[in-house]
Amino acid sequence: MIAQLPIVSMVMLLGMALIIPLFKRRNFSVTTSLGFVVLLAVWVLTLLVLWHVRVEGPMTYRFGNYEAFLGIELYIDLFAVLFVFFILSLIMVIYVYSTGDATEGVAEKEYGRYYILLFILLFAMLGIIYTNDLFNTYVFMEILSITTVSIISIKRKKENYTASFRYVMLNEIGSLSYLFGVALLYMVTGYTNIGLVAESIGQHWTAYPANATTAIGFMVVGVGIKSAVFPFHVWLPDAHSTAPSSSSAILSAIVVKVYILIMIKVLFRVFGLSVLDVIPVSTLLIAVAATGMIMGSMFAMAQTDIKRMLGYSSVAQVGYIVMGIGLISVLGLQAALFHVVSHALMKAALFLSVGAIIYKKKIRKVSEFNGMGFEMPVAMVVFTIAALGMIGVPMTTGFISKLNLGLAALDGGQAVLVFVLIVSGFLNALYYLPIIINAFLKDNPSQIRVMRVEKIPKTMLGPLVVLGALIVYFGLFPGVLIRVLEAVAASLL
Amino acid sequence: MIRQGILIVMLLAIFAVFIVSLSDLDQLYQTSADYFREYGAEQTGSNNLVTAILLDYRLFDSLFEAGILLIAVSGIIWISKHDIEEKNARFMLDKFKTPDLFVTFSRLVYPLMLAFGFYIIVNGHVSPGGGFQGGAIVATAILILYYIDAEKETNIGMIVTVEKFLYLTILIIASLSIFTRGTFFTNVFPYDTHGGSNQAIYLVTLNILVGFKVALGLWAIFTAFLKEGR
Repeated sequence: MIAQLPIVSMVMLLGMALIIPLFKRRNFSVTTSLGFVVLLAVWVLTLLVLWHVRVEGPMTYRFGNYEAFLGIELYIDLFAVLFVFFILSLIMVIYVYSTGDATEGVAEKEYGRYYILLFILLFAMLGIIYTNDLFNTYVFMEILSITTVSIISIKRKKENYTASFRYVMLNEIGSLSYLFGVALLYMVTGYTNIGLVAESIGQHWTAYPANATTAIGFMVVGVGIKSAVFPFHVWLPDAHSTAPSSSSAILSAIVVKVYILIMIKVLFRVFGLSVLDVIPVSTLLIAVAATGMIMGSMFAMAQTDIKRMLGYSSVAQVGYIVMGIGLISVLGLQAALFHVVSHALMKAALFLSVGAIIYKKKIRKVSEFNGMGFEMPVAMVVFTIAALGMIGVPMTTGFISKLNLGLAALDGGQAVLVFVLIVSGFLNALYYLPIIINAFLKDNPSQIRVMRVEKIPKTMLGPLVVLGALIVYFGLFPGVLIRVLEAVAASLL
Repeated sequence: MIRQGILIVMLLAIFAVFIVSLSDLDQLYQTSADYFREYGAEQTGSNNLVTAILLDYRLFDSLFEAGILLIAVSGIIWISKHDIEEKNARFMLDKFKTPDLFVTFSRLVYPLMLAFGFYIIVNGHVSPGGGFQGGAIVATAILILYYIDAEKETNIGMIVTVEKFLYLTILIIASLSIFTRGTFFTNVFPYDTHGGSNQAIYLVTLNILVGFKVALGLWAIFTAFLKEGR
């Protein structure tokens, strides 16, 4: 019975997306509250599954009860269900925020469409994480990227269309590259089921080294393009800065991470250590990640638009995660997974607080943030907490993830990476700190310096406070999360 | 020129990989093709093994491939939607440009194509073809109408609404197996019934629904592009 729950929750999300148009003539709050009820129900179901998996261990679900090599299989283990649970929780917070501010630039009659896309997006992400089939992953990747394109272009402005066109072109290259890798693997193994492919590769891969090497290259590059790993990041800043704020948060905090989870699955589930030890994937990933950590921050410093700056900052942060993966050790993977969570929280908080400021003040320039701490204290305080987390100040999740990454790098004997981490932290400070200092210490000449609570909807303030609190909470008490992630990392390796 | 050169080198490299990997794989390649040949028709009730895989073994994939088409159609209509209502394109229907012979032949061919499309859809489980392929043929037949009747007006919104309902129906029918076989997304009828004739009912139903859905989707895309062409 409990094995049915993941697919039931996916069907619920898809069903919700399909019935939204039926409520077109009702008041829009009917749709949003129904959507929230569905999200809450799925969240509860996932919590049940999480509890079950934690106690009983992983389970599989086969469509039509066919054997694994015939049909499609869902593999529900701690890794999958934990990240689904995290994604759902974060989406719920962002969803509540978006009921106050889906509005930024989206026409009122398009709200329904926005939520349809949101639910399909969520459905596709669940599918990607649960499925245990390489081709099925590709199908969901396509759904995810087409939905993302629609969300980016929903504001119907020229720059949105440019950004979404660029997104669709690069991401199609990514998808096809991944598909090509799958084809190469299918050619030699005859399976698309991840477990069976891994088995075949583990036993026979020395008989087809060229094939395995090319497949790993295509798949990692394909997923790398989609998760904006450094040299392939060019689509990200435009796409994430032109989308509405709540969806920027979803894209930057969650969607990019889902592709990283695919990368983890491909590297550790499909190929496994026996291949990774021989092929120098680790060196390449670390080199790319280290460059990205420095260059992403460099680009971010040059930006005048705050949302573009956050976009480039994401490029740098993805570098941290890829570095953790590239170390190919339990410590490194655990640090990477922790940073997936911590960056998701921080980036969501940053985009949402900036979104609140854009919503109220209609400003996007970094230089216009002077004195903002007095006009919008809550939003600015949450921004400050998240930005300090990005820099890596103690008592935030960012500090814990950098500490873990540093320890993992030392453990792997790569001391130079610690230096890169510190430099990258300094660079983060160089572009985040001036905003904070100007916002709280500098007067804005056109404003009277009066402290007041901003008048934005409570549904927007609540999520901001929750995110800020979570960043500090996991910064102070990371123990539980780290232990769970360590178990997850150990199960993957 | 340099770009083309790089492209050709890359394609050659990919080709080389295929050549290299194709040698000496006989003992590795554990194909499932034998299994399909042996048990495919019996398990799924479909003599056409492609349909067996599409509509039974890997129905989960096919459903969402169809879903991608639906989302893409909505996206194209969304992007090509303009605030001012525009008339359908008439460029092909310009009587001076479309030869009479062509129009006449189109009139003759149209019903044949439609019938052929339906044939392929309905017989998807016994002969090559199926919902996706037949749907594309039906869509092509419908598009010929634009040559025959230049003044034809199409309401895209209506097409897409019907398509959405069809997709919802497909999802519901595909999910019904939870009650009879205990898992989602497979044939409703268990495979031990006599001769697989019950299973054929399900396959034909699903093929027809998928065929119509695909036809409507392609029709909508074409009409949207036609409008954009003006």
